Amino acid sequence: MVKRLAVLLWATNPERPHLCATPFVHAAAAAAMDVDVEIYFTSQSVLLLARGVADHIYPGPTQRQSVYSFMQEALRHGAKFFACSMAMSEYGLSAENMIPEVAGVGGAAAFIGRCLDESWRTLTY
Amino acid sequence: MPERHGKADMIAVRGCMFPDDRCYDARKNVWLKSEDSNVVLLGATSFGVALASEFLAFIPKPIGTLVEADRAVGLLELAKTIVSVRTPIAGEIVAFNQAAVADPSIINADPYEDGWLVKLKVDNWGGAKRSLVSGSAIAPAFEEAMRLENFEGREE
Repeated sequence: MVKRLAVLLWATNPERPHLCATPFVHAAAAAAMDVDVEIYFTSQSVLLLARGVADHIYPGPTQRQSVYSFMQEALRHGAKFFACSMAMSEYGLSAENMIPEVAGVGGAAAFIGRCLDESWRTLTY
Repeated sequence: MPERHGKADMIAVRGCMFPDDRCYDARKNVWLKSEDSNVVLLGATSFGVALASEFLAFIPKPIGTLVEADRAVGLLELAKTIVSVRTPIAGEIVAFNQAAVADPSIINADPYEDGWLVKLKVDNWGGAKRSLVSGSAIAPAFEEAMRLENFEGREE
């Protein structure tokens, strides 16, 4: 059984809240099965890591759980969040204005490294 | 007279029932019962069922998986969250309940018999079960677990 999963968030961003729950539910499910899960936020997805953003958007019109609460669910099961340095630079993000749950910086090299490592599986949203 | 569950007496705690013919881990909310000297059944408790409300899917780890103590043997999907089913003792998954995979509602309906989850082959059940609660220790263990969850009681 594969024990590692790297998730790339690319098209998932605050302007498309209806796409913002599924990646974190899938990450939570994998982490709950003791899979090491890393989530890489790139492009506009990195904006989900800005303070005060994800807790104010909801994935559906009747959804009471914010996107941030879905992110928290993935974190609670052990998923780790990594922010793309290029995207951070583009959108003016730094450790000071991002949520504290970000484990570190991880961009193209880190994710491609996971893609090329046969002990990892990858998913892209 | 206590309620009966087959040959077992039922222990009631805040409306949840616990047959006294098996061992429990109240923190992980699972029961274990030996099938023979080195194979044990593992399942969810009625307290777990009450917390979950409704199980929508049960996804076990594959047969043959070696699972360490405190790690997941499978996954339960609820309406709004995911719950991992953790074993308190190490073992090899030698079977899972295919009926529960096909129809997870049987976990809700009968968590102690038809709704069992996995069978684990364990090395030393006699020693391992000393870390679990049984008999007169069941009620206080679940009373404490329910207190920590702010669980007031199961509605009938």
